[in-house]
Order: sequence, then structure tokens, then C-alpha cells
Amino acid sequence: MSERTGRRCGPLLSRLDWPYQTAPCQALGLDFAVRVMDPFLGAYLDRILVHRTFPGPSAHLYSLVDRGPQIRLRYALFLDDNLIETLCGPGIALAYLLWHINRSVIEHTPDLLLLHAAAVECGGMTLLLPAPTESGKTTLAAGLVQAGLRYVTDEAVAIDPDTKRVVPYPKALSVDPGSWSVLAALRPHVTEEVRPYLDRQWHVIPDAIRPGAVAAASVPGFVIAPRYQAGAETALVPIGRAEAVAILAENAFNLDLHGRLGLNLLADVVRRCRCYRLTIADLDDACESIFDLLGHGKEGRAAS
Amino acid sequence: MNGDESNLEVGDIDESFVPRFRDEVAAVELDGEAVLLDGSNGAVHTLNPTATLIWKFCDGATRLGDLIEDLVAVFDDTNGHAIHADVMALVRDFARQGLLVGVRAGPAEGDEGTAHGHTHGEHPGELHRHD
Repeated sequence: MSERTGRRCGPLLSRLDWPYQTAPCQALGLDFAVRVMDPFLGAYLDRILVHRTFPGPSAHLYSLVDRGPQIRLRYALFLDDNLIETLCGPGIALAYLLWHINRSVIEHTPDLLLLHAAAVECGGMTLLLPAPTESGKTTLAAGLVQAGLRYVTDEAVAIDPDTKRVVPYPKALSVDPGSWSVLAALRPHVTEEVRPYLDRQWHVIPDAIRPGAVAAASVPGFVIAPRYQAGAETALVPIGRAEAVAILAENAFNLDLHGRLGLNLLADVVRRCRCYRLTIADLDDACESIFDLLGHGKEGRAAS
Repeated sequence: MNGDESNLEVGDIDESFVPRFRDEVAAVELDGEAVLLDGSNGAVHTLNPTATLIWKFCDGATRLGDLIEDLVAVFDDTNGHAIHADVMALVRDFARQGLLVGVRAGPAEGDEGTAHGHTHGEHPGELHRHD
């Protein structure tokens, strides 16, 4: 982290030339836009971010300054007036920007209980896939959406305490290099100008997987805690509801804000769910296990 | 000795102790197993059915010695020594985790956990399983 992190540079930022600013975006409670100096990157961001549907200026503004290729820490990222981080290359700069947007989404969505989990939807029921980073959540969600389920999120499940429904956060799926070979069909088609920004991550728009792939709000019906384990046997094993509540609680982003009511909410959610642990060695086998659980064989997937 | 006294050490807990969970500890019970959330640090603990039963009596009104005598009478009056040891170990483990009123949290017995084989992960992260 730069020693100048946190420095306020608003007046200077406002005097720089910004060739591209995205349309206003909405991600759960975060209302924001991004301005960049590379119009190709700007247009790409407008493709992968979710725009809001009502007019008006954004509440928050990210600014990505390109200081030029001669500077080692070439990119400087600001949120509103504040320097957040300096970064050395285009790939890390974009990956960090998107990571920080996720972090800000969590900070700006205190009313919903947020879980570190992916989720997909089938027949009006959400499948919650809670797990820490590097457990295979995004890969599994991508595989399930490819196979016919609808996309809710690959990062943060938002539960409305009043309705107990999951509010979709259908950000572009962030696919890390380790999954590029198994998800090769999802490789984004981008121009030469944008390609350097994608050396750390692919950003897969759900509609690029399948038009209309994004789910509406729905009630959780399954808790399936995935864990990628190379060389193991793919296995879906039932677990108790108490264990499922503990898994959700340990993967909660803001349970501290919701406290006792949050724990009760998780218990209410889980009481309606069937709960499992999923060891993933092979993506196709893992998806097949889940479709079997849902009562869909291969032939039933198109109808899901 | 009772649970309202402050600054007891874990080793001070004996049959006269009256355990009570701190107000910051929230709990839910599903299918006979309790999940505890320590609101002071976000740590999550799951209890198996036996530990859940004992947790229900950590209410600030029940002496440990009375609870043990009742458990022996109801469940196994030939094995009182083992039940005594199990209950004391469990309640001391609750105390070590900082869950009880009046007892200072402390390190686990040994490096790997208590005599019950409970795991003691750093928060946030590991599941604490009392079984």
C-alpha cells in the first residue's frame, strides 16, 4: 500500500482530462461510476458493470489515473477524492478496482445480511454456495449457469431480513486463471486494446453465458458449501442444519451489524434448506451431483 | 463461588460454579444442536446434542454440581466419574473461549485443544466444534 494512501486529491483530479466516464452503476447499496483515461477500458467497464435504471449523478466516483508507462506504479486508484492504492500494471489495476467495488458494495449495504457466497437459482429456489476465497465458488456457479441454472452472484449473497429472500447481485463473474481451462468457452471476446487488462482475471457477463441468465429474487432452498480439492473424489455429503448455520455465519461479511437477529435470520433460512458439503475435483461431476439433487438429469436441464 | 463473580481463572471452576453465558453470546438451536455467535469477536461455535443440553443449563441458576448429579441420575448412574469429567471439561472450554460471565478467557489445554478434542481456531475462520 502506498504511503500516500488516503491522501485527498479532489481539486487536482477534477482538473485532469477524463476521456471516459461510465454510466451510473448500481450494485446492491452502492451507487457509483468509474472514470478512466483509457476510453477502451471505459467502454469495457460499461460492458461488465451493472448500470442503474434511474437518472441522476452517482453518489460515488472511482477515478483510475494512468501516470504513463515510464512510472513503475503506473496506475493510481481513487474513490471520490481519496487515494486508495497505486498499482503497477493494467491487469492488477483492473482486478483491484473490481475488488474494491465489491468491498464498497459490502460497506454500503448494511441493511441486508451479506454472505461470502456464490448463488444460483432454479425453480424459484436459491442454491447458496458459501465458502472462503479460492474454494471454487465462481467456477461452480459458472458451470451451473452454463448448464441451465440462473445466476444470482459469484461473490456476495444478500439476504433481505424482512422477506428472507436473496437479492441478486449479478456482477460479472470473476474467473481466475486456474479455472480458465475448464471454463474456456467463457473466455471474453475483447479487442487488442483491452486484452492487457485481463491478464489477472476474466470478467464474464452472465448474459454472455446465456441470454436471460440472471435470476430474480428468490428464497433459499439449499446450502451447499463447496471446496475445490484436486485429486479428491467429487462428493456431495449431507450436513446438519446447525453446521450449515455455522458455515453461513463464518462466511458472513456483516453479521456484526445484524448480531442476534442476524443469527436468527440465518437459522430461519437454513430451517427451509437442505444442506450439504461439496468436494469438487471435477466441475462436470460437481454440476451433475447438484442436478441430481435438484431432480434434473442431463435431459432435464433445459427445462430448469 | 458463582458465575457473577468476576475474574475467576478457568482452573477455579468447580462444582460450586454457576455458569452463565455472556449477554453478547447469541444462540440458535437447530435439530438439537446449538450454534453460538460471540458478538464481541464474531467467533462461531457449534455444539453437539450433549453439549447443547449442558449449554441450556448454563443459565446463571444451576450449580454445576447439581447439574452433574442430575445427568448421572438420568443418563448413567454407573458412570458418574466420566460424566463429571466431561461436564467440567466442557464448561471450562466454554470459559476458555471467553463465553462465560465472570471467568477470564484463557489458552486451551495443550496446543491442540481440550481433552474433548475441540478445535480452537483463531477468529475469523475455523469452526469450533464441541463434541
